[in-house]
Amino acid sequence: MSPIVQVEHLGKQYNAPNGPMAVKDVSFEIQKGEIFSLLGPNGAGKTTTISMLSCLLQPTSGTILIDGHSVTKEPKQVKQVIGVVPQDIALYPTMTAQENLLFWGKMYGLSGKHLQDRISKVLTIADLADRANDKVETFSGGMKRRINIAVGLLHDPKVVYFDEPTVGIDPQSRRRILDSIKQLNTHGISVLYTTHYMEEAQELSHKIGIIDHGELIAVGSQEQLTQLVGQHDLVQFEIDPTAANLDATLSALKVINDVDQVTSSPEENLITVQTRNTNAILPQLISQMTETGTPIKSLTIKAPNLESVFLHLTGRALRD
Amino acid sequence: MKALTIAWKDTLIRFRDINALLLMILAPLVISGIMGAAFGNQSATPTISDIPLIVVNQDQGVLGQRFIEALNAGELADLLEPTIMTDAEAAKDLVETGEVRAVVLIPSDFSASLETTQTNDAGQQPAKIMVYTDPAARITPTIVRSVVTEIANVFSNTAIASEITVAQIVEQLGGNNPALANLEPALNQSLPSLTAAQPSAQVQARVISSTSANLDPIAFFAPSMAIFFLMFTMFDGTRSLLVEQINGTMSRLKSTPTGIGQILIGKLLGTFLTGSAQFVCLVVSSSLIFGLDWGDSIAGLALMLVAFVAAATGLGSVITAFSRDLPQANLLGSMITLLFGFLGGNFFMIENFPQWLQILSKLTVNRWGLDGFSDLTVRGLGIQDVFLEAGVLLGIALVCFTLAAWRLPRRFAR
Ligand SMILES: Nc1ncnc2c1ncn2[C@@H]1O[C@H](COP(=O)(O)OP(=O)(O)OP(=O)(O)O)[C@@H](O)[C@H]1O
Ligand SMILES: [Mg+2]
Repeated sequence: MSPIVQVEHLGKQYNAPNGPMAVKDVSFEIQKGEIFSLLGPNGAGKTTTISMLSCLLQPTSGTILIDGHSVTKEPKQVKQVIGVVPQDIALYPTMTAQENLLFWGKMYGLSGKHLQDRISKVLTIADLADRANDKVETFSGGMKRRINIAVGLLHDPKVVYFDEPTVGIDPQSRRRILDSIKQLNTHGISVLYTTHYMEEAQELSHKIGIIDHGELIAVGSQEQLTQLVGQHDLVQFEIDPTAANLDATLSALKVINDVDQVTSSPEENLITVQTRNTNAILPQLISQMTETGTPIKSLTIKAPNLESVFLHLTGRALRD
Repeated sequence: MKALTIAWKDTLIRFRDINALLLMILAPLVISGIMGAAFGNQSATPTISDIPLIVVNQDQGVLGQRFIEALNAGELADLLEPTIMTDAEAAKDLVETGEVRAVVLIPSDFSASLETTQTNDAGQQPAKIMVYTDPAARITPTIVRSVVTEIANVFSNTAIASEITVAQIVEQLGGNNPALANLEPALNQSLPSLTAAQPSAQVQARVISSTSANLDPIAFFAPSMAIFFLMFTMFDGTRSLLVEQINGTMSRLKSTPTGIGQILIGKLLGTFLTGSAQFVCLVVSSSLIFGLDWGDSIAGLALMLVAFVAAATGLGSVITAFSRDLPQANLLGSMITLLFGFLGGNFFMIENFPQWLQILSKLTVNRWGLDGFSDLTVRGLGIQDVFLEAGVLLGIALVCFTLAAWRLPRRFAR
């Protein structure tokens, strides 16, 4: 079975020839029926990649095949296959949900009874059938996001791109969105999902690509990725930075046996230690913290996860 | 046709927006009403009086002098302001430079020829009074010509039928031209007293017959304000391309299987539709509220509407196509709207402009629009009389759309 999305050596330079390379030599594949997540911090190049996959942005280099069609040579065919849910809500606020769906449906070439059927279908998915005749401007942020998604599903696409669809909304709406994506996937729709939330990528994806500074630094299933880190736990200390002696503490922790990496993010009052032998060195870590003058407010131990993978690969925490 | 769907969507959005409606419909009506009330209070519009003209009297007899007296008689003294000169060439120069509106040249054989005509001497050429007028002015030269013709008719006692009459001129200019308000009473009062010989009852009767003239200043201000506020709508409509780009709906449109050509045509068509609907609303509401007569030619009105809205849409699309960003397009749009409004005569009668400004005003779509619409409303003319104005406007539209068709796809394709 050929992949639904096939990206090879994709590159994008904005404002060539002197502009920044927002995407550098990115290659990945999404198989039919798969949920693939691009996980990366702000400015990593997620939206840039999605824009090129949506025929909105001309790649500087590389090739993209969607369902076997080249985005540069057969954009018409590609656009029939893809559903795009943009990062920013792209709707007409003074029109009702129903009117928006009607308009966008026609832009996808749908009409008549079929269009009406599709509209009620996606309204059900978005759980907004009862608000269909209200103007979009009267919706909450989460409801707008759900209509924004519904528009991308109207023409029954084979693959849907979700660009950070849960940014800035309440936990309930977020839950609903994640559940409906899984629901869609059970009906055979392939998904490209971008996020900077590790938990979302973890929950949803069959496969994950970690992207940073425009480079795809790792691709694989969750298990494959966490194996990159080995059996490394993350031990996170919450501290009070005003009462801390950070420099002394960090250098003291680094020299402890079996400690691989120590990072601190003072904005979040966190010191993170990566180790393959948590139980053995935990007492030592705690005593060193206290001795160097950094009192601990709380401590968390995390088994290997995508965050440790990102830390392992970039030396930085995902959230910064 | 996806372009039609887009156009319809834009029209709906616009007509649902209360603020937009206030600007599109209410503002022009209110301003026309205020202007109409302000100018309507003054009886016999004083906008045209003391028309500067030069009389060169080369006549050797007494009738030339009588003719000059006639120009100064009664209410004509308010309407005209004749200056006597002797150098005919210098006088003509003054007309050409626009400093006076007209030169009236009384030939040397004026008295002589009139006397012989009156004795029915066959083969004798009748006296010819020459009127040289400023080609850039429209109404004042016509008034001068008509006054001179009438007086000459009275003098010659002959052929009213063979000469153009006041009544015909009044008709040609449209009965309700405010500029002619004081012409008729002036002539009625002055002409009979000119000469006891034959006071020409015929002239009097004809002049009276056209006093049904509607002098409503709203006939000028309603089309003016419609034109002025239509420009806002058109520029706003074309700018919505940039707004959609900022709001992300342009990207979404491009991610659907809809060509960039369809999208752009749809957007411009939507602007055109909105403008046309706005204009129709203004025509209907101004005739209901003010009882304004938009003329007899529906075809002429429709032609002018299409031509003007097309030209304004074209201009808007050029502004959008060549502006760096939305704020710049906003600034340019407002500047052009105001500049064209004032220069194009939407607030002041163009006849009162100096000549160079009148010529400059022809660079604006507003001037051509106003000329065309007032041909229909003020002068009561038909469709064939607005072919020039509509043609110029459609030409402007064509040039603008060509520029936009070259630039817009490049700008919005990627
Ligand atoms: N139109 C543009 N012109 C120039 N540079 C751009 C443009 N769009 C994005 N960039 C740059 O390209 C890089 C990648 O941006 P992109 O929007 O793809 O990141 P992202 O991963 O989607 O980030 P976020 O999580 O904030 O949405 C950034 O450094 C950004 O500044
Ligand atoms: Mg993004």
